[in-house]
Amino acid sequence: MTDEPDEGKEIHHEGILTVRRKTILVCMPGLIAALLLAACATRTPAAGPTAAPSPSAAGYPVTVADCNGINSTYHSAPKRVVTLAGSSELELMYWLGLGDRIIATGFRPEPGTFPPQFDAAAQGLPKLSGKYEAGGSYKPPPKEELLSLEPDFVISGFSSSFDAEGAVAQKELAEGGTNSYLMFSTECDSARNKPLEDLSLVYRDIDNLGKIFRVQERAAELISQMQTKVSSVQQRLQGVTDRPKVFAFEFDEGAETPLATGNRQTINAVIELAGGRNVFSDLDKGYENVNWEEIIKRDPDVILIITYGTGNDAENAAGIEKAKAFLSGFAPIQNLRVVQEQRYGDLLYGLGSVGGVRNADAVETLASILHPDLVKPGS
Amino acid sequence: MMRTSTDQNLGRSGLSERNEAPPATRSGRRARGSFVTAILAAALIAAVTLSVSVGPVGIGPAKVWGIILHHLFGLGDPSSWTPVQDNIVWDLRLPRALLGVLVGAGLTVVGIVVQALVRNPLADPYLLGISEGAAVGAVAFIVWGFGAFGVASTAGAAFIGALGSFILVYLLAFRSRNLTPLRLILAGVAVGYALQAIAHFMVLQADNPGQTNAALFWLLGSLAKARWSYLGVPAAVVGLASVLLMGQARALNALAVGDETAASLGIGVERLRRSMLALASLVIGVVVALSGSIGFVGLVVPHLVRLLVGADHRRLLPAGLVGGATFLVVVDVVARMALRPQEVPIGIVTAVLGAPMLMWLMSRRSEVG
Repeated sequence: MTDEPDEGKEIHHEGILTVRRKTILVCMPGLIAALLLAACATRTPAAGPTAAPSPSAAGYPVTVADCNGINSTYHSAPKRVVTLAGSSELELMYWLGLGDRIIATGFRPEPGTFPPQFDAAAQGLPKLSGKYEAGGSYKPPPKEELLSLEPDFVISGFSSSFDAEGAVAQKELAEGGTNSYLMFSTECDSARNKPLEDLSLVYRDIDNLGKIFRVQERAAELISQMQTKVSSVQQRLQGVTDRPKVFAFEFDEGAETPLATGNRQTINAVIELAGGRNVFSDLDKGYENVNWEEIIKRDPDVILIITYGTGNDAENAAGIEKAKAFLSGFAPIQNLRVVQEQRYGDLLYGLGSVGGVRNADAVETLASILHPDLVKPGS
Repeated sequence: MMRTSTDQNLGRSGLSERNEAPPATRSGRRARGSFVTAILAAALIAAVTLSVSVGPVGIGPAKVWGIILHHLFGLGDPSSWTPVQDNIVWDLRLPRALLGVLVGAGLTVVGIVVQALVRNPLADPYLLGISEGAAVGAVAFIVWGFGAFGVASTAGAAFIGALGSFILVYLLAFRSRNLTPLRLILAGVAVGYALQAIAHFMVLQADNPGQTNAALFWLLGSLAKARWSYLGVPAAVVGLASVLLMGQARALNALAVGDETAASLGIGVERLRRSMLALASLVIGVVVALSGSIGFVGLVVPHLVRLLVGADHRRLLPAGLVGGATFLVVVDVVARMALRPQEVPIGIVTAVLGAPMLMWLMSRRSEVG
């Protein structure tokens, strides 16, 4: 497995010395806390488990690989965590009961987009001063701001959190003794070399974080809850041959030249597991702006309206009504069966369009939309 | 034809009747110009046919024309095609092709006029900061969603932005008694850069990735928004303005030589320049409001057409009108089909196709410009 300790690596003593010196400089203000030092001094892959300067806690050290193939060795559970993107990785931290370890977030989620039990806590987190910019690119938090917090673990769902101009690269963090983790389930390129048809990337992230924080029981519980939901849907759908063709319509992203969601998008897996078929399952990409004629050609059976949502039920409903009004008033599609019969469903973006624990709920909800006679909502 | 009647109008207004092209090869050139325009008109019809015939859904040309003729004249038997095919041809493809015609024609005619007015071959329709003004309006609407003066659409906001930038340039350059081309270019460039900075700043303020995408898509230019209900205003504006501008073809010929020449021929240079720039700005405001700023067409197609028919505006403007329309319709077909299902931003295709065409024509003809 990818998360086995990498013991085959040769240890360069000079490398360790340099690393230690840098480490101590960076960690100087934190020297008082012995535990912190232990966390700081960790560095992989040059420094293997044997380089631990202090005795490890039970069950440690553990080495975990992330989306970029970076093996990080943990000698104790991280206690000062920064979530750089403030989206999927932050939500997963809460699901694992690790909210109290977060010292800052790069971004706060839009209010109301997280599950209600986590929303207030997420909104109350200290925020670093990064900013999302044009074209989905982003201006990361200033290096000094991040490093001065002395995090012992930095995690993000998006590679831009580490790669963007001005961001603190994972290598740089490692040299300073800080472990980092780029998730598999959000937008990891190396894991998306084939169509997404199940939730295994989400399970992998949950499992990995369970090991890193030594909360394996909680992780196993989450995974088994998700698997139970999904397999219960699968059982009910057994023998179903009619898989409705679904167009996942991200209405908030613009209606004139709609976004097609290809097979590298989480929603593709959700649709597959819910007994449907993504009309753009032939598109080997995450997203693509397309002409409406492409949708007419693919003649969907169901249009799944996806909105970001605001956490306010009335506003969410109004947003979905707006999308339905557009579909019913847009001349070019008036003769499509799906529009004439108004076979619309709706799903919040946070549930089914980004990898996470709630994907299993999305599978249930969508299955009840696609196969109402077989699957009841919330069953 | 249209040209003769406007020539008469021109004669009455007394602007430029005395200016004539050098007589030696006049009839030959005129014949060549009409010939090229006729060829381009045929090419335009072919391009529109191509544009409505190709798409992700295969519908044969006979069926396509059956649908169009049925809508126009009630001909043909609607049962030989499905309602969905009818929607595709009539509601998606045809409005888009026609918007391409209007945008291509408008950009090219205005490009020709602006190049003559400022006597600069590098001038293009966006010289006066009009497109940047439209961008500010459109992006403000996309990002903040407010409707200034009650506008309820990106296009409306873009047009108000275009109007605003025109007024700014007017205040900077037009108030001077002496409206030289240089002064005009500088005012346009200054206003354009300032407004571009504002538009970019506003894109940075957009919080939500959806807004950012919408703003960028708009800034890159596209014909994807074409709907029947959007075509009326640009059709009227581009049509009327083209007639008026063609009516000034002789005056433009004189102006292209020099202000003194034009003045010596009895042309009110200042008044002409102001009125034509206002007209050009109106066309660009309307066109950019619907399609975003599609680059390259208004700069290069005028040169392409000039290489084909010569520099006399009496031939250049009609040929440019038809040629620009043809060019953009073809480019849009490529933009839609090249990387299916992805739509390539049309501005990229205009440059990819236009630059080699210009070089090829330049290598074939030595007299450029």
